[in-house]
Amino acid sequence: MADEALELLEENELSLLETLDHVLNRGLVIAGEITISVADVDLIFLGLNVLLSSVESAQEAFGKRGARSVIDDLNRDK
Amino acid sequence: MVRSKLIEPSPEVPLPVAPEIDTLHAEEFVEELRCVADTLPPRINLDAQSVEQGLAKLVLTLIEFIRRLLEKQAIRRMEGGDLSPEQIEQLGLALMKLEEKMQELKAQFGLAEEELNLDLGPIGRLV
Amino acid sequence: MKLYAYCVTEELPAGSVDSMPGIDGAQSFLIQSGNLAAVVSAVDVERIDVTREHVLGHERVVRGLLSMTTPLPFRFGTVVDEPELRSYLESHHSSILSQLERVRGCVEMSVKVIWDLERIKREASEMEEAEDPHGQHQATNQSGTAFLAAKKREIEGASLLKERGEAVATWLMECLGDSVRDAVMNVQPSQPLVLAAAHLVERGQLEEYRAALGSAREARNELHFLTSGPWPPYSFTNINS
Repeated sequence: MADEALELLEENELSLLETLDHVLNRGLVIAGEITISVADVDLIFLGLNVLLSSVESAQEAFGKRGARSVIDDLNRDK
Repeated sequence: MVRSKLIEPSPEVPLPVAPEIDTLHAEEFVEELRCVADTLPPRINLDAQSVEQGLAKLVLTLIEFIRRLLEKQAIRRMEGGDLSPEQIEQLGLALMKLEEKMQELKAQFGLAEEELNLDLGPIGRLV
Repeated sequence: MKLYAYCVTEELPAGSVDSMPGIDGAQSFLIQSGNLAAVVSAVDVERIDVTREHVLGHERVVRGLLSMTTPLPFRFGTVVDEPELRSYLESHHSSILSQLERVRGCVEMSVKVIWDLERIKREASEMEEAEDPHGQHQATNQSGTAFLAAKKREIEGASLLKERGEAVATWLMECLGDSVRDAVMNVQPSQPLVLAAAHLVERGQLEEYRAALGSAREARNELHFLTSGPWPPYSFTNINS
């Protein structure tokens, strides 16, 4: 039984992590993004935005504990 | 018309309500993906306060890029055989000091090695 | 009122998203603009925190659309007001249409590969020693010359690793052949998770894709795979452009 519960938890976590990876990594952007284009080719986008966002605001957005907190949320619920 | 453009899910292959995940090594992937999750960028807009710290990161990234370029170039010259042993030694010492200095600066701004990189979109990463 | 934006699709019949609760349980609805529709819900904050509920809420709505059409997801956390959204849809009309065209009828499938990094590194350094038996393996890092020699080995090791990593990506692409319409690959040779690939697969080709992937997995026992999907085309949605 305990093993099954553990397996279930792992499965859930894996599925959550995969979802995080997909949802957070990409997508269309409306505003707040810097794009440097040369000859109409977008060369630097996402990265520069990330680069210019401070560690502080990162912590703010992630609630001080990093994206890890999302995973902790999951574990706490179990 | 409008409806004809929509993809009607075929009854034989209905889309699952959640993505199907298949692996024999769940534990390993959980561990690796946790690391990925830890470095996921936040989605936030620029504000004045964040620029200063961000600027340090941008500048250090570019210095790091140039430093690596210099190292590669130095090795190429060393192998080219047109440098005297003294010149090679001097070059090596200078680059060694540069690397040490960079380590200090990184520590000072609390930046990890892998943070000093730029995502250049379709053409990959800077370093 | 602020809007949280989930995705853009080709125009949809009114009421298509009525049954989809979004972020914080808010009712989602459509903003139609010409032959495009954006799926949104009302929010009362400027910034959406990255929490489990929010991420899953975003994914739930976009995935809901996936069963009707192939949507272009917005970046997580996109909060706008209505005029902003409308002007975006109008000014990016042609680029959005061509992106919708690119993903039409497809879903995203994902493959991640973990390799035995330690073993690969060992093999790489053995190969180097064989190539360079008189290599300058000075133990000390005090002198500049030794530093450069060490750097050389480091760089060569890294490039060998890079070759190996890219070989995995190429091999996988070859295995999947025509079942894949498009692919985005992220190779990280210095990491255990060496490859994260996203494949754009036509819905009708899913069986073929899964079969090809299955035989690929069996062929390489030393690699550990994680496959997931179908996903909305998160990786095939370009920013701005």
